[in-house]
Amino acid sequence: MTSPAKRINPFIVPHFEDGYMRPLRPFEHASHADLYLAVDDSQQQFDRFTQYVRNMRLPPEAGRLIVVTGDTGCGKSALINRCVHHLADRLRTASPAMSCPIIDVTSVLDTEQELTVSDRMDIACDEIVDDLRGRRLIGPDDLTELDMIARSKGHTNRTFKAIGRCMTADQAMIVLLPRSELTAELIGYAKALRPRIFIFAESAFLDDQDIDQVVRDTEMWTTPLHLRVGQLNPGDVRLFVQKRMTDSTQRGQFPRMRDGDIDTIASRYRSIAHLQREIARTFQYRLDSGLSYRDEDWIDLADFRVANRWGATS
Amino acid sequence: MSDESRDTPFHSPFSSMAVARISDADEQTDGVDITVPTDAINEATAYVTEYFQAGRSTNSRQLNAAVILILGELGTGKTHLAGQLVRTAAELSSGSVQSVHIEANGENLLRTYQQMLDNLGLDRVRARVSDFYADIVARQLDTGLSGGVVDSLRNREVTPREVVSGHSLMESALLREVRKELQVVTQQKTFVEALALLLRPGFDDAVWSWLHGAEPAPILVERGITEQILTTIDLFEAMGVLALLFGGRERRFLLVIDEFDQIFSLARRVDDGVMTGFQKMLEVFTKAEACLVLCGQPNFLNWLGPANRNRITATVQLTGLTVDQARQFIELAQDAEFGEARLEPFTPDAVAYMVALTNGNTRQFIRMCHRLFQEHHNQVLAGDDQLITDAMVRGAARRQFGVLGSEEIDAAIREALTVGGRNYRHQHLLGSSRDTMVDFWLTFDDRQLGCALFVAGSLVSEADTAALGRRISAVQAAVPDVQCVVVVNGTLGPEQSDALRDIPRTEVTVYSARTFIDDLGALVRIAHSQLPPVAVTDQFSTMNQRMDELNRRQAAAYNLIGQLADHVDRAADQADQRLDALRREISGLRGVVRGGDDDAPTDPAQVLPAQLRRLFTEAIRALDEVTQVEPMLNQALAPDAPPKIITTVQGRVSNSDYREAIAIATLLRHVITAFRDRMVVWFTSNGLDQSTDAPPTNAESQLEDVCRSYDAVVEFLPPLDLEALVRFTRPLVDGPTPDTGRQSRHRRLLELVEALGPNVRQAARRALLTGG
Repeated sequence: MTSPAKRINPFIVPHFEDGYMRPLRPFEHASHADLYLAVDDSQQQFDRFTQYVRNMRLPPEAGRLIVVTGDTGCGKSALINRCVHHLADRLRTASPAMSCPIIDVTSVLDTEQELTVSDRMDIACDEIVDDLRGRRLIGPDDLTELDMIARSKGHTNRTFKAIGRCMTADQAMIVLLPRSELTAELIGYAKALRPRIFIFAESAFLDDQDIDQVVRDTEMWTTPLHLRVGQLNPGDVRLFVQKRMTDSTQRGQFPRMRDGDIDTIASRYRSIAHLQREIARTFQYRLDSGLSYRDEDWIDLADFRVANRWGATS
Repeated sequence: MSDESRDTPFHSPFSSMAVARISDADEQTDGVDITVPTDAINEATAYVTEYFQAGRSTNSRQLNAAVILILGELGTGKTHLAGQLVRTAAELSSGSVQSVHIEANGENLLRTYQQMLDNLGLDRVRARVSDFYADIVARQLDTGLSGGVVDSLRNREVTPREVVSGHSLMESALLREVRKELQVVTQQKTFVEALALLLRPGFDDAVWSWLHGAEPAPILVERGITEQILTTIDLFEAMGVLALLFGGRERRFLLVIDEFDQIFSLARRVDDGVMTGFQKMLEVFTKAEACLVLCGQPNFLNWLGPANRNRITATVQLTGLTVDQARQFIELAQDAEFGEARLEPFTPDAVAYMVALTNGNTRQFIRMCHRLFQEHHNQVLAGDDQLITDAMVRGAARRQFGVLGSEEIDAAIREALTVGGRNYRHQHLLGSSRDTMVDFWLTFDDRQLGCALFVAGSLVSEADTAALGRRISAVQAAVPDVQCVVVVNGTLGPEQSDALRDIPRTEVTVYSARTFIDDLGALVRIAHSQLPPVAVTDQFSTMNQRMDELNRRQAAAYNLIGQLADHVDRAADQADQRLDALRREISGLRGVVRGGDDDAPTDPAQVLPAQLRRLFTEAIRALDEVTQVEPMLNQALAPDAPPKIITTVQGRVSNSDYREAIAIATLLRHVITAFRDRMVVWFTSNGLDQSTDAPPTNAESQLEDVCRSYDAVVEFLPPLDLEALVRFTRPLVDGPTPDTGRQSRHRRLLELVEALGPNVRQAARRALLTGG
């Protein structure tokens, strides 16, 4: 006798059961690499990145700045994580002996307190040094020097310079920066770059003109790669919903959604994050409610309405 | 009078100050608030009503935006009317409309704008920007599927930030939309950016401070906000931005700026941008569909160019009260206080006389009502039930307008003529008839004729001017081509002023302590220039005349230098006293810092909030500055005090007016101290010094009792009666002292002591609301 299949929420990806809004992180969870979908033009942008890496001599002589822009919730962080995963893979392939820590300082800043660009960069920088210290990638003398540098304000450039000095030829570093909205910050990082350091930055507030300015102001140092994630295209919602359900079939049982209902809710969503939040919440509500939750059951608009407190239709 | 009425505390239905205060729509007014519905008041109220009703109904005649000028001389009730309009707006809109009532600061447009900003407050400004955001988020969610959230947003039950975060909406795109909508409000990118930043955490302080005119903080500079709001044009623009923010989109917004003409009188001198900025602001207010009420003096209208005048919807002129309106006012005031609309103890004739003496000026009229009502009350207590007489009105006018007695006005004229180095004779007969007697006869060495100076009391009737005219005609008949100067020691009615202007070779001035020396000096100079010169006899006699004149001027100059030296000495004494007071305060503070472990007594008033404490301290200080008893006695009892000082002090203390004024001042000081002590008790007994969550429910009524008791006691100790001190507290050595310092101290005392009750009430209520 076989035990009944486990009931799952198909919109909560493996390893992220505690937070279904977290972006995919294939460099931490390899299975996530297969969950990427060609929505929001993100596939084209990823293809541009792989082409960029293909054209790059690895490891590069100069550092690189990759800036991903797009509106809130369009999947910038997920794209960055995918690019980081690809880059780390390519670096290892090119130089198997190379060590390449991925340092994620995206959450280091307090979102309730607004700081100057200089202070923001200093805090991120200190976090990078702490991370390197934790990984024992920097010797005690170099750490002493870095700690001394960190005592003064506006030390980002000198910190990167010192890190660059103490990195050996078989060391590279990938840094994921906090979200930024000011060109001055990106320009500051671009100018601080050192060989074999890759910096990924994202912004929901900078537009093409802003990035053009960053490019103009940094052309003496490095030319940043700009990847722009767009908005949901027609068919993206259906693609996302169906792909997640198809990919989850083997993991357990869950109700399905009719195409008509998917198309009805599609008009509501402008971002993948909005869709992900409400659809994951709806399945979770149904799962937690004790209502029938089998493969042959259906999730319909009534479930969405209740789960997301849409209330009465106007 | 019955024993019962003798035991009832006296309350005058008339304010002693009659100065309206700036108030919010929801603020209670202190005391009785009487409005006689004059044509001007009805007209202004009608415009505001029409404006607010236009916002509700599309059928009514549209008055989507309005710029209303309320013009009137000082004391004609502009502030009172402005407050009334704010309350009308609140009533018409059930409190949902934003209305702001501020007083322009003549020294600084920035302060005026800051008042507007503070009156609105950060929360309301942020909430208004958030309204834009909420509408945009609601529009995006309103796809027919999510009525609940959309309704909650539209009803402001949830914030757009909560919805955006809770539903993972596209925040960046939505904020972009907000910016686009704000660009409709203002095309200045910096304002758009600053206002949009209020929607995000971490920017409040920086944005609010920048809006207040501070240098932009670095986090703002990084976002393109690099300039301060500083110039006149910036400030008008900022006021316009606020109007657009709160008005427009079918919302109603009322801004009342009192004494707006002050901005012009200052700015015209220093900044040519004021006209451009003001014109822009009027345009913006019209665009914002807001209602702007500007109060000012009548000449304000002349300063506006034709372009600005064309944008004014209505001009309301406040004129003086008519006799009927004055009677109505008295009846309404007594009805409000005693529940009976009566004219007594005033008589119709007394009211007509009061209106004539005050030119119907509302403030002056109410102050006179206050004096006379109180005098009548005293009279009744003394067993005399007679109604208010013309003589009482004249006496009240003399005290109210600083009218001098005959000896005092003569002394003031002598002083002015001496300072000017003039030759004069007192009580001089120029012809054979008694009509040709002049009060002063001025002669000039280089002129063939002289100048006749007449002193007149109040000129408020045709008979008054006719009598004076007869005297002048008699003198001009006796001495053809003589020049005449009239000094009016009292009130000069407008018609009487016109009548005097028609008399040839005659100049008129109304006595005013502050400017009299200059005023009379100028008129004598004019008279001198009009007189025919003497024929030149020889060079020596001319030179002698010039030398005599120079000697007289030199003597006057020495006299003035002496006065100035005395003034400096006195100022030094005061500075020493203040230094001592400061030392005592510092010593007290040290005691507090040391935890009160020394023997210095702790000031019980320390439990009061700083604002309340300051009200009492300033009132007591102002009183001390006017009485000057301590420095006088210190000087008189000093070991090396010259005998003349002792005799001067004797002169003062033997004068009954002086003694009465000092007694009033001493009592007033005790009353203020007792009032302060009662407030300390009120404060501590209601736990307001312990920052309790909720004070007892009867705290406010207790407060009301304390304040009313103070007002009732002070009714009989009016600081106006301290005028005697102002006259007496001259330096102890010879010579007059500049009056400006004493007069301004006296004015300050009037403001601080008479308004102490309402001010304490207001400050204590605030403390009550904020839990101490």
